[in-house]
Amino acid sequence: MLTESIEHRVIPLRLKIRRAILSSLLLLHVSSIFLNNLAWSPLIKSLYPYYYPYIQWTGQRQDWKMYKNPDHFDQQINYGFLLENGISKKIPVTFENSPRMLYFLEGLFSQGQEQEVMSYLEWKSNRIQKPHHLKSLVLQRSTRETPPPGILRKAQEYTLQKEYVLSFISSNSALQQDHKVSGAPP
Amino acid sequence: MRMSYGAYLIFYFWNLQPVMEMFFGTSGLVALGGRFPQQPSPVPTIFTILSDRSDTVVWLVTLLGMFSGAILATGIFNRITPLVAWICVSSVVTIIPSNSGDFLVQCYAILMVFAGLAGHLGKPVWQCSTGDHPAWSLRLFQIQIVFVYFFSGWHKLASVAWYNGSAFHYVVSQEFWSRFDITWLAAYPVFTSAITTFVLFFELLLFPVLIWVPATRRLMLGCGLIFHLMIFATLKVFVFHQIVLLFYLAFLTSDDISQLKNHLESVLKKRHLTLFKFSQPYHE
Repeated sequence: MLTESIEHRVIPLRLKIRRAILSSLLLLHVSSIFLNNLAWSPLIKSLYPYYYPYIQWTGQRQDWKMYKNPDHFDQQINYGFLLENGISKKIPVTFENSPRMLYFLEGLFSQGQEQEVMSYLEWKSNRIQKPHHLKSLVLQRSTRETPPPGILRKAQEYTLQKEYVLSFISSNSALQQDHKVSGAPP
Repeated sequence: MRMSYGAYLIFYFWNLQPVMEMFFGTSGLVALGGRFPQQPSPVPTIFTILSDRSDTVVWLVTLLGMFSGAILATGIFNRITPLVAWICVSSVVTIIPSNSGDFLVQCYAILMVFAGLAGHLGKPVWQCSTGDHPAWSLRLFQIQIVFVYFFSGWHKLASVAWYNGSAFHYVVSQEFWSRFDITWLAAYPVFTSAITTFVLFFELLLFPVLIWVPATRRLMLGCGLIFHLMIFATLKVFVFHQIVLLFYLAFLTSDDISQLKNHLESVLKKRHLTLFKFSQPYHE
């Protein structure tokens, strides 16, 4: 009888401790993701070193600002091919790229990392099936302003904003590359 | 949820294989001198540990991710498989061009790890209301998606375009991101303003509150389903809508599943009877 009553007292305590630990962990988890959702502030700055490592290492980055600031312009991103025999062609990137690739190509322009763009153009040039040597490969972005609601659009044409050019200089012994970046005048 | 996520991972990694190969293949962008990812994370990935310029490693990650998804869907090794899936997802999401949808896939993966380690993935149940398992692992999924909606709306309010009702006007004006031409909608500012306002209310108030009310739960799930399907049909948003619908499964009860099953069975029966009628020879 005495043994039974001791066991009856011990088990609930263990269970209570287990529940308390689990509840604390859950509270920490929910608090961390809540704080990671808030904008930067003195409060967040003070708590950041305590909760962010958990977010970072478990991969629970809370970044739900999609479409927060929709662009006030439309864009076109095009490939431009120039072959050695003089044939040139312009193709919109939307023809042959998935939405994820479009996102990547847009990022190349918005982040302005020239080395990364050139590596992409080189990769692209290696995958183009062409009858003649490629003289240059261009990636260009043009934009067109979107007027506010209720106002008619003034211009229909897209204006070149920026372009990256990868040129291939062929010689007897080797195919060399050169590149340049140009953009619309200010 | 486990089965759906496992099946989704097969599709997810298969679609990502060309992208990973482009970046981290033997003749990929990194091998050609590009610095990817541009903001490296301190968290190690399979690519940083093994190699970030190898087709073999790309295929290893792809096949391991697909395999872990398949095993997760079947329901065996439920404590360790979510961990493998999470390692594969984390290896990919942190280094390729990712959007909010990919972050949500990663969140789903870690929540699966928690549920798996706690032994809550033991059988294909849609909800833990049977009392066999504590509900906390399911609640984490529910809380996560509610946070997604609420804070998505919260951040939007900080933007002038959403606050003054013009955001949707600019969204439909972007041909680059539209699946077909919807720019003509911009000629109806009342409509675009109404949509903008509805989206804000749905994200900030309707879903986060009414999803917890039994009487309006199904309505909110239905509204959300239509909302995401319409965006998916009109805009080139990738991954996000599929993974959000997987999160919706956390709100389905066993009654919902039974009713859906019965409804589908009755529809199929009716079609079968109709076909049977037409296939009978005519007797005078």
